[in-house]
Parts: sequence; C-alpha cells; structure tokens
Amino acid sequence: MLYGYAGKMLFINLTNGEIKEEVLTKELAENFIGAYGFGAKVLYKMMPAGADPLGPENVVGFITGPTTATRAFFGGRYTTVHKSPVTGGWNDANSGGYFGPELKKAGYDALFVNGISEKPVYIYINDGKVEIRNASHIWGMDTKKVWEVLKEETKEPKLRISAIGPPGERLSYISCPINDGHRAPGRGGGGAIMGSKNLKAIAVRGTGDIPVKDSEKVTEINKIISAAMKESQTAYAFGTWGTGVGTPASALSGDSPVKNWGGVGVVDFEDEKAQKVGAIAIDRYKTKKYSCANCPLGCGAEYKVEDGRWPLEQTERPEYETAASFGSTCLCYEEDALLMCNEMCNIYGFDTISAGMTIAWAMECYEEGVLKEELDGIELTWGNGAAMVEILKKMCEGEGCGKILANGSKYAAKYWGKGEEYLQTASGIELPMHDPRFAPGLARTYQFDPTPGRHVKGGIGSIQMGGNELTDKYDYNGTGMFDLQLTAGTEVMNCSGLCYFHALVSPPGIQNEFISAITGMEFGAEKAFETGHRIYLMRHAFNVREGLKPSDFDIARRAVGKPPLTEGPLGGVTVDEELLGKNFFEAAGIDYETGKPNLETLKRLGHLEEVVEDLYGAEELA
Amino acid sequence: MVIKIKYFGLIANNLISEAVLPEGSDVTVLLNHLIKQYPNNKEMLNKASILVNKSKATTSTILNDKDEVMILTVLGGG
Repeated sequence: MLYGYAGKMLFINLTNGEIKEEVLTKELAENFIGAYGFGAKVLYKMMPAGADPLGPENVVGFITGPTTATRAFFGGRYTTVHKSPVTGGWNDANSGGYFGPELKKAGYDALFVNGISEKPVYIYINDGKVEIRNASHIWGMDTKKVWEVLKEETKEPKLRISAIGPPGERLSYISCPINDGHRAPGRGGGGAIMGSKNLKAIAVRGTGDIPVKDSEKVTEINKIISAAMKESQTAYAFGTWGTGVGTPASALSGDSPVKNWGGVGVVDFEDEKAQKVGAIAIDRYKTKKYSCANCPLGCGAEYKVEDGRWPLEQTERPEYETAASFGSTCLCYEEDALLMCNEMCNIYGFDTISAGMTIAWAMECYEEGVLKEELDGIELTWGNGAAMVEILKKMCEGEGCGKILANGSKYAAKYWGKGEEYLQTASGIELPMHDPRFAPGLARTYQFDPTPGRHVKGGIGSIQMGGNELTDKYDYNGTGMFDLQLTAGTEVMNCSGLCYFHALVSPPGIQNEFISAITGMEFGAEKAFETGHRIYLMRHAFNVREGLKPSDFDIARRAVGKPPLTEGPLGGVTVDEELLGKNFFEAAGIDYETGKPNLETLKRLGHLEEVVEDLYGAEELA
Repeated sequence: MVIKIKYFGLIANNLISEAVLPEGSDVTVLLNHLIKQYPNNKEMLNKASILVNKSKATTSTILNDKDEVMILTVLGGG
C-alpha cells in the first residue's frame, strides 16, 4: 500500500474503447509526487514526438496529488496535462473545486485518455466502475447544464464533473474544461483536446478513503496553518474578498497590465475606475462564500446580480486574473460587463485570461484601424463593456468573428493577416495578469518555462509579484540558483495537489511536512529540491523531444519593456529576459543553445532514464 | 506639511487620509507614522508599493507639502 495515494492509474483509449488500470508504482510516487510529475513521465512514454495535438495520439490526463482527498488543508487540486494546440509543446493547468478529490476517492490517482471516439461520449467513474457512455444528448450543452443532466442521469446528486462547453466541441484553442460549475484548469487549450476526442465530460463519484501515514501529524500541521492564518492580513483579505481584492492596487502599481500592456495604470485607469473592478466594490452582490475542498481560506463566492444590463440569478465572483484581463487590460470598469464575461466563460468553458486578452488585442486593433469589418460591425473601443460582451458571446457561439477569435489572438492575427504587432503572448499563449516589468523574474517563467505564459510556475518572479523585494529586482546578475530553488519548490507544491495560496498564508516548508506526514516519505528540503528539479526536467524533456530549443520560445516585447514605458511607476523599465533565462538554464543544467539537459545533471537526479537514452544513447544507461 | 494618502488592496480604506509631517520627511517617516497608529497593518505597510504623485517612490523619497501618496498592497498568484 502506498500512503497518500489511491494506488491506481486509469488509462482509456477512446478509439477502441479499451479501459485498463495500472498499479501506481512506488518509484513514480516517490520521485514524481503526483499531478504533472506523473503526467510528464506518462505522456513522454505514451506519446510519440510530433503528435498532432488534436489527433488520437495526444493524451489528456487528469491527475491528483498526495494531499488530494486527505484532510490536509489546501489539498483539493487536480491537474490536466496534454500537448497544447496553442504552443505546440507541453501543457499543464490545475484547478480547485471538488472534482480532483472525487476522482481520487473513486479509486484513481490519475486518468489518462487517448484516441478519438467515433461519437460523443462521456466517461463515468463510480467507485472503481468505469464506463464510456454515450454523450450525444449532452453535446452542445453548456457546462452547468451538463452537470445538472448527468446528476439526474446517474442518480448521483453528489456527482462531480469536468466538462467542456460548445467552444471545446468546436476545438477552440482557448477553451477549457470546467468543473464544479466555475473552476477550471483553464490554460493551454484543454477544451479543444477533449473536443477533438469527442469527449464531453468526465463524471466521477467516489466514497473511498485515502490511507494517510500519520493522521495526527496532518492535524497538527493544519493547526499550525490555522494559527498562522489568524495573524495574516493576506488570509483575512483573501478569505473575505477573494483574489480580486488586489485588482485596483495591481492596476495602479503596474503589477497588472493595462490597455493591452501598452498603458499606464495611474494614467489610463484612474484610481476611482480601478476601485470599481475590485472585489471590495463588486462584493455587494455576494450571497454565499465558496471554498474548494479542504480549504480553510475560501477565496470564492457566489453572487446574485439583480441590477445592470445583464442580471444573473446565480454567478460567481471573478478571480483577480479574470478581473484584470477583462478589466484593466481592456480599460473596462463596467462591473456588469465584467461579471457577464466571467459567467459566459464559466458556462461555455473558456480560459478567462486568454479570452480577455484576445478581446484586448482586438480592441487595440480596432482603435488603430487594423481591424474594422472583420469584427462584424461591433465598435470595439477601449472600455466598451457592451461591445466586449457582444464579442465574447460570438466567441461562445462560434458565430462570425467569434469563430476566429475563439482560437485566441495569435490565431486571429494569422487568420486575418493583421495585428501581429499588438499580440501580447508567450510562445503563442496570451500572457497572464502579472507584469514582468513589475516582477521581472516572471519574464523567465513566461518565456522559458516548459509551460509558457504562466504566473504559477514559481521562480524569483513569484516573490516579486507579491511586492516583496529581497534584492534589487532589476539587477539580473546571479539570479539562476535562487530562481531554480524557487521553481523546484513550486514544482513540488503543484504536484502535491496543494493550492498556490497555501504558501501565502502558511509558514515556509509546510508542503514538505504535509508530504512527509501523508506518504511516510522523508521529504526534507534537499529531497524537495531534487524532486522539483527532476519534475521540471521531465516537462522540459517533453519539449526537447518535440524539437523545441530555448530560442523557439518568445515573449511579447511590451512585457519586457522593449521599448520601455515613458511614464508611471514602470517608466524606463527594461527587463533582460535573455540573461534571466541563461542564468536559470545554467543553474538547472540545461544548455541554452540546444535546450538539452546535461548528462551529469540527468544522472545525478536519476529516474530520467528515457531522457538519457533519447538524448545520449542507451549506452549511457549502463 | 500635509500629505494626502490613498490606500488600495489589502489595507482597508478606514485609515487616515491625511498626515501632518515635519518638513523634509521621507516615505519612511510617513510609513512609521502610519504603523504607529495602525500596528496591525505593519506587515502590509512595509511591503506595499508606494507611488508619490503617481510616480514610483522608494522609502527614501522626500515628500513635499500636498503630495499625494498611494499605498498599494499587491498580491501575487491570483
């Protein structure tokens, strides 16, 4: 028995309907922890290089971690993995809610799906019983309706699902699965992958228990976290208003981008306007607090919107990333439009970052006269909330210009042959809502992480974006080892199933203590560093095998201050993203030119035999 | 001299909106003035991004009469 794990992984091939289980090995658990650690290892083995992201060889994984479905605070997350149709490389994204714990309680640490079904299907898992079921009757439904229908159909009121909406069925590159009605592994086109497989949903019901090595220790750690939270202003603010509490401060400080990354918060998005899209203002619609599984913080909330142009009987509080992408990035401070865009993304299954950023790109193109008739007569001016909602509705329905924009800004620029100069992307995916000119370490993660364009990949940027400055953040010399250490720690956190926010309100090192207590492994700082580094290299190796080198990864020029802004708090800032990348790769044992991890590092970290064989030959395994 | 103060982010808006400080005071003097009155906000005040008249400031930026100081508590990872 493996403590902290259900002990099995499920593999389903939708082409031939094969369903098989594999025992989770101790070696995989101890050296890759869970989530995308497992995912990178499994996909490297299952998928050939050069697989079509929308073809049968691509594999989509839904994977939990050792804290998932235990009593560990913040341990409610699951991760999706697949090759991305957006970036052409490795992709992982994670989500909260209750789907992950339910999958694990149903008997599986992970589910991997490949192949393509002839007809629409959904996968039904109920306490170890697995079926591939017809989904013709739910094809075309939105994600909330699908949940209602499947709860009724399975007679399981506690059913949890991860489902795509119509954009995913149409293979939209910015579509994603939605679980629990409003939680999403949003980024990188996971909805399109499910759609390409004719896979409408994963529906799970589980009642099993996960064995924990030292339950008393887990309780003790939970108490430590509770005590720390009582003293934490961050915990109070997140627990009261959610992540959107920081939206106004971020817009004005330069932390969040403004006007498609070309504006200045204090100039273009005045303080009164900024306050309007902050959670403190919008929270007057709050009806109920929402917490993910085992979360003592509860940064979510349900809303009821009775006024404005788009009343909503029941909707959810927008996250910071959503409020910034549809708010400051589009120069929009119309809260009813913001709430409506958030709701549409949830029920149709769109990544809110890419959706908001794609509209911001189209807005700038419209204002600059680059796009006019392409936008079906919609006057997409800066801050025009009604136009924003109209465009997003077209994207949801796949109608007119929306059919093009639903594939993201890079696709649209290529399709129309216009507006490339206004793209704010990293390797094709729209940038998230923390600006590298404010937190320069993010330039490295956005550009060079194996999953580009993410704000949850650790590194020195993860400290800087919270406003902390341990050293001069604009001094780019000697950043490599600290950057690697913070990245490795985040790899472990993400793979453990813990929420990113646990680190904002807990004492340092808690994640290692949880892993030790739950699994029984000795998981100290040194092992954590090695494990995180190993997981990073496994993800990186997936891209190397695809033929991707560091020079193939790019980042929008505005995001690194080239040219710099001329005013505001970030005026004059230019980021040396190349040096940050070189520093990191050197510390990680990766050649900056070829992208190849060096043999000594691969052998020292171990358990990367397939990578050694592919890069250096089987003789090196002897 | 009189300094106008605006707060954004985690620090609630019920803190003082004006501070009377000696001539020649810098941002550190202002922050210490606030921390003395609101010790519970020390953590956030010390890590906040500060703008003076909408431009980036440091703790040693000298304040002048009628300057507007924005205290911005930024969070990462949202």
